[in-house]
Amino acid sequence: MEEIVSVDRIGNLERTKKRKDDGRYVYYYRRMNKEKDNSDG
Amino acid sequence: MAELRWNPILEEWNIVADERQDRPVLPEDSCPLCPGVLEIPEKDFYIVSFENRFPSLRREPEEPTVADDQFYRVKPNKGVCEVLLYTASHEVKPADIDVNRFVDLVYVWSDRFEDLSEEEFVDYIYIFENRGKEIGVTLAHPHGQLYAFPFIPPKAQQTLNSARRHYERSGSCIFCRVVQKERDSGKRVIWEDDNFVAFVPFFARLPYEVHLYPKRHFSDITKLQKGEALSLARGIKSILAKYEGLFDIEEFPYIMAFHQAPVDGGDYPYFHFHLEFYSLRRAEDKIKYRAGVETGMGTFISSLSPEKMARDLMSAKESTSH
Repeated sequence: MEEIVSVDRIGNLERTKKRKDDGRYVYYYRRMNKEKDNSDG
Repeated sequence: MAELRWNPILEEWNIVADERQDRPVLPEDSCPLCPGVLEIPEKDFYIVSFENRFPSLRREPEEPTVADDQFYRVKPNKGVCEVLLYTASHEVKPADIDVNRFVDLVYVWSDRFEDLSEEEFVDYIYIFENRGKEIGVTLAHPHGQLYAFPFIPPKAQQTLNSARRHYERSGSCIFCRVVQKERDSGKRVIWEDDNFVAFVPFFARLPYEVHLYPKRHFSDITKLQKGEALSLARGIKSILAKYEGLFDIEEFPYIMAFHQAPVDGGDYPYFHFHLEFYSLRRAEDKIKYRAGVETGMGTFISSLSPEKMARDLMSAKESTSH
């Protein structure tokens, strides 16, 4: 279980900061304005 | 037990973190870094950074197990250790990652640096990657790491001291001078574009050591200007692809180490952002061990001349699918 702390835009990336049950932070980055690049998986 | 212990002889902090003894080592059944397994509950991801389950440094550390007596000093291991996953794909090698994703990875490194530099307990941020079992990698999934230290580590401090002395003597940057010497010679330059240059330095001490510098003088990754992120991504990819093409082996082991100015509030006009790459693989069937002279005395003995290493890397076929 992860709880969203904040969502921010970093250039062409969107950063979603979440907090895990054990208190650790995790930062998900995804590309904005372009199709997701799946060329390497 | 996890704490910082001061070495009064070498005047440096060591980290004790004994729970790291229990880390999984190259698990064969499932990878904890793959999506949906352990660390990342989501089914897919682009790029992720998360705080290490087995950290050497913690945001909320426990109190030390021994008393601080001013000579044998001890402190909580306050800091942050993050793991950066480059891709959800377990099998892809970093050298094969698409250059567009690599540019985004550069921006993620920059964002993590900027974000953590705002923490008052952080003095120095070290971004790095260990790759290959010879280096001591415990998980094969393509990933790097980040340590946000509550002190300036010894090698960084030694480098800063040297750079400051040169700056005070000459008013110029010692790293700019190294870059100029290498470009003037050209003998050890293995890759170059308008913004960055990669070379085996005159003073290389580890197998296939390569330094990657921006031609413009700036102190950390957040100062990259338009076009330089792409150059940095291309430079890293080119070095890794040359590494993969050096020998007929499954995976070339290496360390990629970012060198940046501290974030302790000081002024470091003499520091020049750069990356260093090192290996322990000195031949297809030979490893360089840090033995008595290196470990005991800190003097490195290289059985490969920097010029030969540069020639090998220049002639290596860049092994990449992109």
